[in-house]
Amino acid sequence: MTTLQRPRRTPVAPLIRRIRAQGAFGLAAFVSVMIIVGFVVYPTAEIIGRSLGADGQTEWDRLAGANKTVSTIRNTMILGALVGVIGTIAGLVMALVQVRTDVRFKRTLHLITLIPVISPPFAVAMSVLTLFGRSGLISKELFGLRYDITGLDGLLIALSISFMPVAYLNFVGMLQAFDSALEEAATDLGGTLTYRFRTVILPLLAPGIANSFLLLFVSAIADLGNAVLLGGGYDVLASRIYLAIIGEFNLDKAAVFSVMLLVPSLLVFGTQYFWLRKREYITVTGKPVGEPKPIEQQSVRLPLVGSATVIAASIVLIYGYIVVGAFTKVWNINFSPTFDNILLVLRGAGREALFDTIRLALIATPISAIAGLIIAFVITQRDFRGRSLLDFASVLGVAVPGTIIGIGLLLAYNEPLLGGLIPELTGTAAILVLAFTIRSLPGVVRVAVGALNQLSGTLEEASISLGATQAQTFRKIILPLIRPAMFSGLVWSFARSMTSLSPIIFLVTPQWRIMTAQILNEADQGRFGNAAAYSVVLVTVVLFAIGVLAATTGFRSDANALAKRSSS
Amino acid sequence: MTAAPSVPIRTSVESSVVEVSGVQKVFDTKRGRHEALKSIDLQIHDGEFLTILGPSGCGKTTLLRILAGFEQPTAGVVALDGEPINDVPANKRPMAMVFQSYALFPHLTVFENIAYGLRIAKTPRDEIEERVGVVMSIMDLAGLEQRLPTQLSGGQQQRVALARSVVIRPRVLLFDEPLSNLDARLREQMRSELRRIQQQLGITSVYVTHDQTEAMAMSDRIVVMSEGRIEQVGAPHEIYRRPATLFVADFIGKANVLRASALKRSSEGLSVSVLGTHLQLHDPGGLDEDFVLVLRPEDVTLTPLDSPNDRNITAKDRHIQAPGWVRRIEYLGAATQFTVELNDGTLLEAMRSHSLARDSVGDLPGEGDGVLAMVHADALLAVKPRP
Repeated sequence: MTTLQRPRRTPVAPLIRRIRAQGAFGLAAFVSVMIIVGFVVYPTAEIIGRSLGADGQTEWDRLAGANKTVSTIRNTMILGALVGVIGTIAGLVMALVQVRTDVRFKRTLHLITLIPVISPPFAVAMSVLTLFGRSGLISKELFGLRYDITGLDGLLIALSISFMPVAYLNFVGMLQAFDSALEEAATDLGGTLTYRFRTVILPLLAPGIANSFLLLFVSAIADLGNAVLLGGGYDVLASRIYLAIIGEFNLDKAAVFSVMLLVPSLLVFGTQYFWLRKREYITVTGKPVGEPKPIEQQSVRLPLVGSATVIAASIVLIYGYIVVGAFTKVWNINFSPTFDNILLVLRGAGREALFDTIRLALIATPISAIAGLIIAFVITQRDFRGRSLLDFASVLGVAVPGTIIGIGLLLAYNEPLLGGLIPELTGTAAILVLAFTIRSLPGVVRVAVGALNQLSGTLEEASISLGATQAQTFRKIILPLIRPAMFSGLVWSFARSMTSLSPIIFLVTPQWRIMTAQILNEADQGRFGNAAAYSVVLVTVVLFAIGVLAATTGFRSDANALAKRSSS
Repeated sequence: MTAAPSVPIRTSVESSVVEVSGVQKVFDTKRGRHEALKSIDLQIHDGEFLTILGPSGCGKTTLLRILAGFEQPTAGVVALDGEPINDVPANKRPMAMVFQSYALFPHLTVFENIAYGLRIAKTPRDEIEERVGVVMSIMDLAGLEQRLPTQLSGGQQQRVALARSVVIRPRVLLFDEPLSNLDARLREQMRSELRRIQQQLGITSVYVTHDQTEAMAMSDRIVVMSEGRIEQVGAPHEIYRRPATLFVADFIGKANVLRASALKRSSEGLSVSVLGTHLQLHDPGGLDEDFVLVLRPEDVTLTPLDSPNDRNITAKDRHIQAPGWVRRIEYLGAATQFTVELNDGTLLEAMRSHSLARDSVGDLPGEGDGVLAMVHADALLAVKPRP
């Protein structure tokens, strides 16, 4: 490209000209594409490239035919499908109880259902192990069973509980937006409740059901922490990737497994994105005409409320037991209360990790807020070629499993790029911030897109018509109007950064410790009490952050707001 | 792609503020090319209230948005005071738009909404205070300065939207169906208020609507559009009384359409054959062989039929006298509408207004009664079936 014969046409010049012609929009579009390509597409491509390299090729040949690989892939798919089904049903039950019944402890149920959103996903795994494991409190002490929960059954419990809120929020939104006139019409026409459910409610919920199934599927097969802690002999791709790197330091093998995981993830996510999202939108647009009526038929109501109570009780038990573990001498064995574990986290070895994590998450939060806002601005601003592609690319940060993002970053930035313009990032705090940002970006983009879409485009035109430039319009009209939504996006982003494990597990170094990695480490070595203490501190920090943001911005305080975003 | 204007720009005799020449707009949609505007030529005069009227999808909003600068014409030129402004971005055009949804900034008070354009233009603080104050009192908004838009009634929101646009003293004020969100009574009230304010301030205004009554009541001139074309431009009474095309006649008010064929065209007029009789009509000019006659229902006079046996339609003293019977009656309050079937099978709508001083409802023919429909030749308007 640096040949002197043809200096007149560099590919950059027309690009810059076009950006200038487009004004603020062009610049924003350019930045958006750079962010997504640089931080998501490029690292992912690096992994694919690595797996196709010479060494990768050998691994392919070795792994592709192996029985163990086949069973790993089968295990992964079965796990994803079952978590999809169980989590979706549980989420639907909780949502039906929330929206369509008049139980008195609704608010409590709602908050309980959302607990997994603000906790590290694998915290459940530890609790499940100590409660139901080989020497578990309930399995052994209570029932005298020597039952091994590790494997598929344990994973199902842990993952279904961890990801159920996604389905729950999805359904709550749908059921609330449900036009009760439709149902009234069906009742008028003589339909019984079961008949109505079958003919009116279910068909309208169908896209939502498929939607949450697919989302849970993707989340489940990508989950690392639970797979490592609870998998036992049940190998899944995520745990094989982890072992390939942590146990064998074999990046090529990890890359090959990553591609095996990436393909179904992207396929399922793509299906959900391109096919279902639109359909769901058509079904539930429009303002609800009336408040949804509570279900009064006891034969329906009682089983619903009953199952919801059981689910909620399990959540309380599992998370409550983590708190117990954090404050007892030896979790599950010696229940004498102590602050030692917590103090270790707050004062001792964990202190560094605590502050490092908070610091990095605090840095990542505004970055992803601003980047997310820019991308959302571009997506919603106007129709242009490649808009839906950009929109899709912006959610890749969650579609691509976290482990793969992590390895991708490791591979992509382990040497200076663009002639030293981007220094080597591997081992620095910057790469951790990057990982946090990538993972929380999609959530922020969704929040911002939702908020921007709610603004009528004529507001912008009105401002421009009154003489304002696009930038002035953004600053004076759009920004103030989407601020509340953006704050909840910030909280979401922070919570997400604090609790994520898979993207940073391969990026942590002794210099920069991250709490989730620390928890996994402690749990892996059997120091469950410490791990529980870390988890409790972590959740407290997240809750505190939500509280602080709520107090300083006058924003609706509960996790509700944060949760609403993550569902959209 | 910017094509050369099909009409050279010239300063017209009547000072025109905006001149639209050969403007064309093509949208590339997924289903192919959609020609929203097909070569529009239009002059907007200084200080006038011009309404662009047409059914939805006729291109009227696209034309307005091209004037505002929100859309770029595919071809053609938009000139403001003789200067082409195609390349001038919307925010640099001395125009302001009033939106159907008002588009009031929900987070700003009434005062701040109205002051918005002035603040953008970095107007000195006291001048803002003064100008906003003046406009607010003209619009009858005084005292509402600190309210938020959500705390206003529909009519007040409408006036804030107008005030916000007027206060920056635009060269041209653009209205995009601003009254369609109001209920019928308020709409009528705002209609006259809008017109009053426009006349008081003398701002050149372009008003888009699909409501013909609104257009008739407010406008100096009306532009009737259909399928991306201008069908006719004229004062409300011209549009109604001398429609240029069948579309205009049909879209504005009610119209009977009668097939007719020309027998002879001379300096005395147009000799036609209609309903089996011959008549001499006024020749509006510009007609081809192919034309139709349009007849307004209020131009049909009904009288009781004296001799029911007279089955022939005759022409006498430039009148058509056609016997028939009343098939249907719709009582509308101020008037009654009759559907009359003539003896040759033609259906004719007739309208008769009421006045207690003149007649009583009892005098009117009833359903099934025989009637004689009388139409004066001057009420038969020869129009082109299409432009």
